[in-house]
Amino acid sequence: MPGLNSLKKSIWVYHVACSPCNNCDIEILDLLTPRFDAERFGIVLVGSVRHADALLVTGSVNRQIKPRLQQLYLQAPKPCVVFAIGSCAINGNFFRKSYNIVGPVERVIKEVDPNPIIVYVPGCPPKPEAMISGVVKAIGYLDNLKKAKA
Amino acid sequence: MADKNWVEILREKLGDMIKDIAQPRERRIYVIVDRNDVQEAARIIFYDLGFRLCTASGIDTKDGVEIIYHFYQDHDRMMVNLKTLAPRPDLVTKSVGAVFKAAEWIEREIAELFGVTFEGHPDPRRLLMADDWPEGVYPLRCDYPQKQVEGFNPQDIEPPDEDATHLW
Repeated sequence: MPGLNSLKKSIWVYHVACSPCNNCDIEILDLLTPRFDAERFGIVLVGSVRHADALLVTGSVNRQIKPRLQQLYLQAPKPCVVFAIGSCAINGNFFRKSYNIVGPVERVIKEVDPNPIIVYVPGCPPKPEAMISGVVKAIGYLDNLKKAKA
Repeated sequence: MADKNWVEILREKLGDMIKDIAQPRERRIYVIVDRNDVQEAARIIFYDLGFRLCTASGIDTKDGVEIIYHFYQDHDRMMVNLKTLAPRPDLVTKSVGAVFKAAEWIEREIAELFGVTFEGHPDPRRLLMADDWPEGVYPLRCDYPQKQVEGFNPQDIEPPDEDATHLW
């Protein structure tokens, strides 16, 4: 993945909601408001995917959203980290055998990009502390990747 | 509220369209009508009596698809549920969306998930299903196999091209 240096501080996130129940989206908004305050780290919610460093994917991927999610991943400038937030994005939770659910986020993105960076934050919905812990672990992992390459 | 007797009011307004009427709790009334009378009954309940439509629900039973329209009145806090049956094998009933606009979308959703035909509906398109979902496959029926219908896998969608840069 080219240019991993840019992903260390101040990650700009773009929120992709693929048919969620909106609990995970509410918890993401809780993360950015002054109580848990991820904005002091420079994590900003952007309005266009062309400005994004990370995609926050919530909800289970269904038939209609699958080509659009793949299109958004291709449009985001690389390097791009995908955060799969909530159990629905990780494996579909209890909707996994439904008639409309296509697959977990991992399988959908690996069809267009064979080695993406995906961070899983489980929970239904995950607590904002869990999401912060996920972001910190992701930054640590990317640091190790850079050191291993250098 | 309990000071008006809604069962009596419904009996005199709907007359002999009622097949059965019951009030199991203080604020719930269930009215069963035939499928040819449901337009007239809904018109009376909506316009004359001042109820508002909350939603409609459908159940797949062995006689056909039962459709219940839930009406509610805020002033007296009374809920009236209008029940009809679309019998097998053709599953046809009259459309309440032709009477007032509030029922249009929910009837489109029941039609695409159960396969019920609403006669007189002004706009019978798909509402929420994907455009490439095949015709004739109705997921909420009791005989729909959970994951796979023969020859059709819901996961068979082609990924976009490598250099696709157009926006949807």
